[in-house]
Amino acid sequence: MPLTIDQVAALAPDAASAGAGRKLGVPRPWRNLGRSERAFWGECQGSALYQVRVDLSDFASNCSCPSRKLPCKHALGLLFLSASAPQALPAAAEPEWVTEWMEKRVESAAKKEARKEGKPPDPQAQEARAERRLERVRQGIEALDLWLSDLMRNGLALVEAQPPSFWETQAARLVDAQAPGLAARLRRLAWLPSVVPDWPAVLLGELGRLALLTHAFRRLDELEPALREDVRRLVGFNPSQEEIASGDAVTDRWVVLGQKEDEGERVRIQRTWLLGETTERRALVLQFAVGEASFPMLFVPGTRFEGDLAFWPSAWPQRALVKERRGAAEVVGALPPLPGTESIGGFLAEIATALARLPWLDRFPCALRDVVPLLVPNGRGDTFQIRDRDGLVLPLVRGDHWKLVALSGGRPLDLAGEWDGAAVRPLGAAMGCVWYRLGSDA
Amino acid sequence: MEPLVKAALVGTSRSSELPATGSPVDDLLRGAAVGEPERALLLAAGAWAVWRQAGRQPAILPEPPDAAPEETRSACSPGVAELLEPMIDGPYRVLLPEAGALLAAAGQRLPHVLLPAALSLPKSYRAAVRPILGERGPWLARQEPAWQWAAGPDLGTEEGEEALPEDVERLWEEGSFETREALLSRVRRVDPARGRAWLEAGLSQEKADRRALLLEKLVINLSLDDEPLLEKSLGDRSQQVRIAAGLVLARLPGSVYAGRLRERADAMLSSWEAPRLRVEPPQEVDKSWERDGIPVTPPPGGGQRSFWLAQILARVPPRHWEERFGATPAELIAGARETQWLGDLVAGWARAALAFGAGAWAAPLWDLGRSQGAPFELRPLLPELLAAVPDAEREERIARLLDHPPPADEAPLELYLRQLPRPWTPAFAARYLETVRAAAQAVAQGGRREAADPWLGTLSLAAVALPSESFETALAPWPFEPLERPDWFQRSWIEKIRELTDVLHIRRTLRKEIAP
Repeated sequence: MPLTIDQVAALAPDAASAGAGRKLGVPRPWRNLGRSERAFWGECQGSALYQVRVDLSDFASNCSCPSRKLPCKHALGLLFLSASAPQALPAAAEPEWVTEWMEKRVESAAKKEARKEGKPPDPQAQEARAERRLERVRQGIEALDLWLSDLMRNGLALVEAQPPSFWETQAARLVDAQAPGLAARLRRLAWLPSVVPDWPAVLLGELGRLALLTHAFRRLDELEPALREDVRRLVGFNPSQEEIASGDAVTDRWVVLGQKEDEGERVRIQRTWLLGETTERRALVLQFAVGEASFPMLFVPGTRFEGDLAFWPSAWPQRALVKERRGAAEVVGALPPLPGTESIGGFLAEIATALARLPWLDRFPCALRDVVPLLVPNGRGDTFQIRDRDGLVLPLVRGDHWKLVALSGGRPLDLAGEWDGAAVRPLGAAMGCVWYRLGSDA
Repeated sequence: MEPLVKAALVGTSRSSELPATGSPVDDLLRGAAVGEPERALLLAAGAWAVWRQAGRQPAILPEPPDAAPEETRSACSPGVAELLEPMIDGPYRVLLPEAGALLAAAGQRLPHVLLPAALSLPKSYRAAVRPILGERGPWLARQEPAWQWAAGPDLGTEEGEEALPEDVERLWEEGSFETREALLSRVRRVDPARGRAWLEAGLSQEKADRRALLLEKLVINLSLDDEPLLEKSLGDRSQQVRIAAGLVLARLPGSVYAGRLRERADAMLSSWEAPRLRVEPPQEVDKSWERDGIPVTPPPGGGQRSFWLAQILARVPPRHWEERFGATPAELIAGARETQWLGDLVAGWARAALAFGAGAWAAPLWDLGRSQGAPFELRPLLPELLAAVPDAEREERIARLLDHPPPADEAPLELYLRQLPRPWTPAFAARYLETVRAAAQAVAQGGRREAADPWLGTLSLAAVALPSESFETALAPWPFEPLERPDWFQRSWIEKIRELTDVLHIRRTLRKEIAP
C-alpha cells in the first residue's frame, strides 16, 4: 500500500516535523525494517536506537523516542521511506515488540468500551435535570423570538451600525439558557454586514431560518422522529459520543474525500468528509483538539478504509463517528462512480433533496467527476469555476486555485470538496490515477 | 432588491403588509398560522431562503474549455519531484539552475502541480526553469498577467539557438518589456540591421530608462551602420540615454565619436619614453564633452582633472595605448606608477579593460591591485577585473587566494570563488577542500578565529559549486563530530557544514534519479 509522499507529509503535525521526517526517509539510519499486513516497523539510529512501529489501519504510531509529537519524526521517516522506496521494507514476521504493541492497542480499545458501561445512571435525577433544562431552553427561545420580532419591527437597516455586543449579549443569554446551538448560529451572523456585499438578503435569510428553528422547536412533538432529533441537536441538545457509538453501525469502504481545519474559540475543529463506496452515504467526521495537540484519529485524504461508522440520528444523516477501522488503508486514484457525482445538475439535485429533508443544513460534501477547473473573466475580476460535461459551472471559493488548473490543463478531473451553498472549496483532486491534496496548506 | 428584503430593512412598524415572494412559499404561508407580522416576515424569509438555495440554477458556459497541448517531455520521477519542491518553494532555490539543467538535458519536465510555484519564482530563477516548464507551463502562464514572462516561446539564454521564432515581429510589437529586451538581443546576434530598424522606429515611444537599456543592446554586433542612430541618441533629452549612447559609440573604433575620444585621450597621455609616461589632463573642458555624453562633474570631494582623466581613459580601448606607444600593458602600468596620477590612470584603464574585454590588461592590473601599496581606486574593481582575466589564469590566481585570502575590507573570498565557472574543476575543488578542512580542524581545536573567518562564507557556495567528483571527499566526516560543547563560533561552522552535507546529498540523489 504505497501512500504518496504528499500524503505522508500531510500527516505531520507541523512543518519542522515534516522536514525532519523527510531527512529520516532514507535507508541509512534504519535497521531491521519490515512490514506485515497490518503494520510497518523499523529501528532508527538517532541519539539512541529507537524502535518505531506504525499501525496501517489508522496510521497510529509508536516510537521509543522522547518526543511528544504524534507522529514523531521517526515514524514520519519510516512512512516517507515506505513511500519512496517500498522495497526497503521487506515482508517479514512481526518482531515481538511490534506484535506486543498491536495486541495492546486492541486490548485498550476493548477496555475503553467496558469502562463506558461502568456507572449506572440515576434515572430520577436525570429526568429532573432534563425537565429543568427544557424549561430554561423554552424561556430562552421565548426571549430570542421577542428579540427577533423587535429586530423586524425596527428594521434591519439599523443593524449595520450596531456594535458586536448587540449580537453577543443575546448569544450569551442563549448560552445561559442552555441552548448553545442557537447561540452559535446567532454569533455567526454578527460579521455578515461587514463582509458580504448583499448582506441584507443573506442576514434576513439566516434570521428567518433561525425563526423556523424556534418555530419547529415549539412543535417538537408534531415532528417526525428523525427531524425531531435534528431540531433538538440544532438547539443544543447533543447526544454523547457513547450514545451514538452504541447505535447501529454502517459498514462500508469509506473514501476520505478531504479535510478542513478551522480555528474555533478555544479549540481547533477538523472536518473530514467520507464517501461510502457501496452504501453511497456521505459522512462528516468532526474532531476537536486544544492548542498544539494532535487530533485523536488520523485520516488521510485520498485513501479508503474498510470500517464501521455510526451516524447521529437525523432526517439527513451527515455527522458520524468511526467506530472501527479494519485492514490497511488503500490509496485511491479516482472518485467512485456514484450517483450525484456525474454532473453539477445531479449534485445540485442532491442538495435540493437534502434541504427538503433538513432545511438547516449548512455544508455539504461535493464529489464531482469529470469537471474542468478554469479561470473565467468577470466584470469585477476573474473567478475560478468548475465546469461539467454539460457546460454547467459552479464557482470555487475565493483564493488561489492555480494548482488545480495546472493539474487539469483544461482536461476533466475528479474533484472532492465542500459546498457551503455559494461556492465549492476544493479539498482534493484526482487526475491520471493520482490523488492530490488541496486546500489548507496551498 | 426583493420586496421581502426591503420590507425587512425598513421594518414592519412602517409597513405591516407582508410582500409576496412570487414563489410557492406564498402558498405555504397562506395556510399556516403565523401570528403577528414580524413573525410572518421572519418565517417567510426563512422558507424563501431555503427555497432559493434548493432551487439554485447554475450558470452555463457553453464553449468547451481550452485544453493545454500534449506534453512532449516526460515528467520527472516522484522522487525528483519530492526534491524539487523545496527548491521551488523553499530553502534550496540555489540548486534550481543545476536541477533545471539536468532535467532539461534528460528531456524531462516539472510535474504539473509545481508549475504555479515555478511560474511565481523571482526573476533570477526564471531562466533556470523555463526549459522544463513543458507545454503546460506556457499554457498556464498565458492566463495570469504576472506570468507573462513564460507565455511566449522559450527564447533561451544569451547562448540560445540562432534561429528566430516565426512570429518575431508580433512578439516585438506585443510582448512584455522583458520579452522584447531578450528578443532584441537575439535579433542583434542574427540580423543586426533588423534590430537597428526596430529601434529606429520604436525607441522614441519608450521611457528614458528603457531607451537606455535597449540602446545598450546595439553593442551586440556593433558596426558603423549603427553610428547614425547612436549619434542621434547623443542628442536625447535624458542624460541617462546620452551616457548609454556614448558608451556604445565608444566601443566603435571606426566611429567619429571614438575618434574624438581618442583625440582627447591622446592629449592627456601625451608621450611615452620608457619608463616615463607623460600625463597632462586638461585644466578645463568645453561643451563638447556634455554633448558627447561624458559626465564632467566629479563626485563630492573629487578633483576635476583626476575625474576627467579617468572618464576619458575608461572610454578608450586599452589596446590603443599598446599601439600608440608600442609598449606592453605591464610596461605602461609600471610607467604609471612613476606619475602622480597612478590611481586615476589604473582606474580608467581598468574600466576600459572591462568595457572592451581587454583580457591582457586585466591580469597585470589585478596583480597590481593585490600588491603592496596598491592604489585604493582599484579596490572596488578588483572582483570584476579578476572575472575578465582568461579562465586558466584566473583559476590559478584564485587558487593562490586560497592560501592568502583577501583582507576582510577588500572583498570576501566568496566573491572571488563565485567567478569560477561552475562546477569547479576537480583540481581546484580538491585544493579548496584541503584548505577548508585544515581551517575546520583549527576551529574544532579552538584555534585562531581570524584565520578561519574567510572560509565560513564560502561553504554555502561550495555546496553548490563542488563537482560531482568531489562529493565523496566533501562528505567524509568533518572534525566537529566529537565536540561535546561547541562554542558559538564552532556552532556556526557545524551549522554550515550540515547545510553543505545536506545540499551535497540532494545533488547526489538528483544525479542518481534523473536518468535520461
